[in-house]
Amino acid sequence: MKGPDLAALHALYVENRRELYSYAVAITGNREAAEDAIHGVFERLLRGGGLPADLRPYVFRAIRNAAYDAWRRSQVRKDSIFDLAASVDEVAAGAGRPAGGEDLEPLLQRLSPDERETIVLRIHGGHTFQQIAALRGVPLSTAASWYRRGLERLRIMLAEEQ
Amino acid sequence: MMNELEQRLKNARLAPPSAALERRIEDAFANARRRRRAARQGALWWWTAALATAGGMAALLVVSARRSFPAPVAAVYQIEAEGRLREMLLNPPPPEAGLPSALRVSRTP
Repeated sequence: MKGPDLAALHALYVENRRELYSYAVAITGNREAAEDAIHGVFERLLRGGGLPADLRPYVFRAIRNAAYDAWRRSQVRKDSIFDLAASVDEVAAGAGRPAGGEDLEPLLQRLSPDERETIVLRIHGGHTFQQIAALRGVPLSTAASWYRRGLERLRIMLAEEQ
Repeated sequence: MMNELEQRLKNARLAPPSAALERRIEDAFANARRRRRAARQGALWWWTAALATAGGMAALLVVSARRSFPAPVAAVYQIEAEGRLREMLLNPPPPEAGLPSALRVSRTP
């Protein structure tokens, strides 16, 4: 009987929970749906057989598939990947400009799903373009182009707002 | 500008998963650990039962083999021959000694 390595899977969740969560929210735009997707993925992984040695990209891919399934069911995007409540608290406490989530969030929502997903994976998930390309099943140049185009569009939108 | 934007995105604090999700995930791991322990115990019981069955079968085979082959009964032969033949029957010559040589005596009338 060969089951998944529970300790490795648990460690992966503990070390990557924010990244996995923000990735799922970036796709679903809905925190409840993102949480259900993550929970469903881990339930399936825990009930399944052995897992690949390179666990992190595998789990991100599984979360992506589950999050897109959830998004197709709900089609409602409203939640932010950022901790906006903490930003509001910082401003209220006189910390000056908040960490940046609240002004970037609506702009991120205006990017294409591919651009938004690639930016979240690269900046918050810490993935390389190679890993993103493998995860998405696209050429490396495509992943890099989604990222650059997304950042460029964000920059223009920010400049227009100021 | 691009690097500054990347830095701003990097610095933005990500929303943490809710306590409810943390609890659900921890429950999922606890259930998986329980399932694994139960499966290990099940396997242990299975092996014990298999060994006990194999031992029982072997004992049964030995007993039935003993019953189908009754203990041998001693045979007693009484030798009535006398002289050389009696000697040969009681103390047969070793195999390397070969058969006793036959002596043919022929007489012409």
